[in-house]
Amino acid sequence: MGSHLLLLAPPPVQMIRKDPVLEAYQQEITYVFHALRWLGARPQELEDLAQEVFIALRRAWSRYDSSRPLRPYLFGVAFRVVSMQRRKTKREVAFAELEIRDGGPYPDELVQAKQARAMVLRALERIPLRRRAVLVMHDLEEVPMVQVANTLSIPLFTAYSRLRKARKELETAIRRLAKDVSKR
Amino acid sequence: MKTPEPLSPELEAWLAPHRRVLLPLAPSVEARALARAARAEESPQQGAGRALARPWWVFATAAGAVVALGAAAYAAHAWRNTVVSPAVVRVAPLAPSPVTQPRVAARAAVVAVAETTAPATNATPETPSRRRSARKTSAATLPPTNEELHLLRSARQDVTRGDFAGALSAVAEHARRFRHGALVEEREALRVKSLAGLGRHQDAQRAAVEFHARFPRSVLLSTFERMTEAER
Repeated sequence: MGSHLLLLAPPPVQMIRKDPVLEAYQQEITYVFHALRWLGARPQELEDLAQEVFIALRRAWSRYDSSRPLRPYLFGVAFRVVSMQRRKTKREVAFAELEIRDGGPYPDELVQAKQARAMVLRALERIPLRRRAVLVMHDLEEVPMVQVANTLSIPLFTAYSRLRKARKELETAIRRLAKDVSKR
Repeated sequence: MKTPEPLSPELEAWLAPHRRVLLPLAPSVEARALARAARAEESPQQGAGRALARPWWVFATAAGAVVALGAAAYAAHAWRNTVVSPAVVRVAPLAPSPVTQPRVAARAAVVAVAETTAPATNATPETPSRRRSARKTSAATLPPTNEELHLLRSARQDVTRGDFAGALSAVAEHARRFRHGALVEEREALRVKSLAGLGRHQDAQRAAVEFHARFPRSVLLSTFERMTEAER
């Protein structure tokens, strides 16, 4: 009888315990890729960078305040991962241009409906990462400026100034790209 | 509280369609990314929390291993210095010990080979140890021979003219004759440029990555960057 009870007993807690970080990552994986792409990661880098985001997220999870929304926090983690990767592989990124030099279109450009998005992405590539992050967070993700400043660990005034400058740069870049397209 | 100015109508029109739009991931990409994350979760190597949870003796063992390795490396270095020292190589000992004699003799042969011209070096069959030593000696100390300079100069001229196939064949010729010559770095840089010029982008990319790994501080790295900027 005792052995029957043992068989029917639920498995040990450790066996059914799920990792909250992995669960959060699983829920928001599409957003992680999305944020990385807006931050300027190239399609061929996305999977590796997403993995870096997961590892960084797990390290910082104990400091995450779960009462706050996860996406801005994830965006901040993604921003740091992309910044670090840019610093580390500044030259390797230049080599990547060798491969795509002839203008092999990004996958999302192949679809007609996504051309506008590709245009915005190309324009965003011309904005330095620190300013691009503020613009994407506020103007695309609609995160309030106070939270943007907190997430990126910068003073509020700096966030405003970066936003203003990034908007100007984006406008110029889009006009220039639109002009190039209309010339063709 | 201060609020940012509203977006200009033009920017608003460009950005509005993409606001809060998440494009779905390809199922294979999603599955792969999640599998990688799960593997990282299982791996004991990653994550600071797990590292701190290890017992003290793990760290003590690791520290001991590091110290032992350091001592071994130092001993090997000291031993190599005594064997490789020019005085030992050039002045034959009167009564060498049976253990060191073959090593000293081999080393003397290597130095003798390295001091001859590069074609002569290529004419002798290479063993791995001789190859390593030859590379170290020729790259670090020997000046390039006239032939080597001539070959690479013609390769560089080919690149300037846009004759990338010609440049690539000169590069191959250099690699065949002066595999470990004094201008290996220049040769490999020309290889990257020639491959890119021929439109063999994947090969060029591979060669560039190899170049970066082999010569991480090379000033020629910036010429790739300039090249890609100019050709973009």
